[in-house]
Amino acid sequence: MGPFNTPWLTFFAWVVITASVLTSIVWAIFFFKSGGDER
Amino acid sequence: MSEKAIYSLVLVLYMGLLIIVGLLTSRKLRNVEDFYIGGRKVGPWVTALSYVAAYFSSAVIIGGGGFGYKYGMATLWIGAANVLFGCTLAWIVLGRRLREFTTRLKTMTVPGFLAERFSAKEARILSAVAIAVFLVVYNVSILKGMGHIFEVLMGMTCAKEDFYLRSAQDYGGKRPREPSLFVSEALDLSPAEIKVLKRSPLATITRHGKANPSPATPIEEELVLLPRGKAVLELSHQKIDDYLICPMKYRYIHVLKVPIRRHHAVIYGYAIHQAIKLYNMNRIAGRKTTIADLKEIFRKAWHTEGFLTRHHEELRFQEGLKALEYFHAHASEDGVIPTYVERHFSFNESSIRIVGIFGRIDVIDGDGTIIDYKTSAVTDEKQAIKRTKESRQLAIYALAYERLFGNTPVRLELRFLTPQVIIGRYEPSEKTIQKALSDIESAATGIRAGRFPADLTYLACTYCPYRSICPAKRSD
Repeated sequence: MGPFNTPWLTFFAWVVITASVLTSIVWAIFFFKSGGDER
Repeated sequence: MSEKAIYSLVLVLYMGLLIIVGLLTSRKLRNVEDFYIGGRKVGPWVTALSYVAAYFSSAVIIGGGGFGYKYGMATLWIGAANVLFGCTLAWIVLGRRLREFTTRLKTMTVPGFLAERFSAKEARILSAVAIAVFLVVYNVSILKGMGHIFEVLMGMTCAKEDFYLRSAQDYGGKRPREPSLFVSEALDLSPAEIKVLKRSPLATITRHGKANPSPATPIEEELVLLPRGKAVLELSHQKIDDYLICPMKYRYIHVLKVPIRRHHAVIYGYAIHQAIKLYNMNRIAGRKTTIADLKEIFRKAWHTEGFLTRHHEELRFQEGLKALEYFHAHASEDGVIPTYVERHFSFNESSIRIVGIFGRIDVIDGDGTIIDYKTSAVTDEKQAIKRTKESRQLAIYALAYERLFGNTPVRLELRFLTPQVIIGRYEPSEKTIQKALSDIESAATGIRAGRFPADLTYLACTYCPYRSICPAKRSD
């Protein structure tokens, strides 16, 4: 996997995944709390 | 209940459940919108679950796992891109907008949305065609993945060890026939890779000559027409060595896994290695190791197994303690701090994965020395050097070192504890690396082809642990 296969970049990929998942959850909670698309 | 019955039952129950759900809900449906998008009344949980079920397919479940196994943790990047663009950004940026638009425009699909939004029929056709084309490719990968799952879970071929697909060139017509495409597809090989055995001239004459009641001469070539699958083959220096010494021995150890009592030399070697490992690790960590520590480890790692008599065991044990004393004296005097101890390595050579553990590597000013300790006996340095030069293990380690660190090690060393320390040194060359590569290649080719003939040379056969059960053993 060439230049991506370093410990730090792999760790960064993991950070991207975790951040994405957390952002999605937070977004979904706010979105549905505020009434979803019914607003 | 047999495994097959369980799988069949699960499938039938699942299908049945689908039919029941379909029947129950069909009464409540009023229009197409109800059927396709649940009348736009689906809640967050169902939306999320169905999104995940649709988005993550066998491409992720099997493909991702396979990729990870093959390329390592860097595969996370595929997951990262998928999660970031396919999930998070797709929902946050597109989710609500798309929902509002489609409600207003009264459409249910992406092509429909594009057509209504831009008031262009062409957009509908174009996007529908794009989806149709790419879904075909996508579905192929999913079906293939499903096929693999079924194959692994249910053993669809039912073949346990060998599976023969046969075809003939001559079915009595005028032209020779090619093997059916089914063969190449079933084995995932290109048709060119399938070797066709030529009939012996005598067989041809018999076939075309007058009716001859005696059977045609049997084909003498070995009946291995097709190479085994292309899955990654994992080999260690030990496996390669076993195969090249005697393929039949390899079969006993690694294919049939016939258990044998451990040889006393293995017990001895293991206990010594444990002590040396501790010493070298302490060295790296800057801790001191006393002779008493070494002896303690040696004692703990010792097993009473395989020795000829109680007396023999005691003799070997004392020899081990003596060897450790020599080792300790030699190592203290030597003073070199190892760079790596017991370092695992693995690298891929075409579709062969070579794995192993470097016992010790010293890197001084960028020059690497691979060191391995041996407990087998040598009488002098000349013999030690000869053994080092001939060592298939060290040649493979030199190759591994080159793949891992980008340069060839300057020295290969075997340190024999006999019990005095006798060192065999050798500077590897391009030839050493080539030798390792060709050894790996020939072992892998033979193993893949399932060729395990016995090698009846004196050294291979006389000292083989499987001698007592091997039908092909030398009689002398």
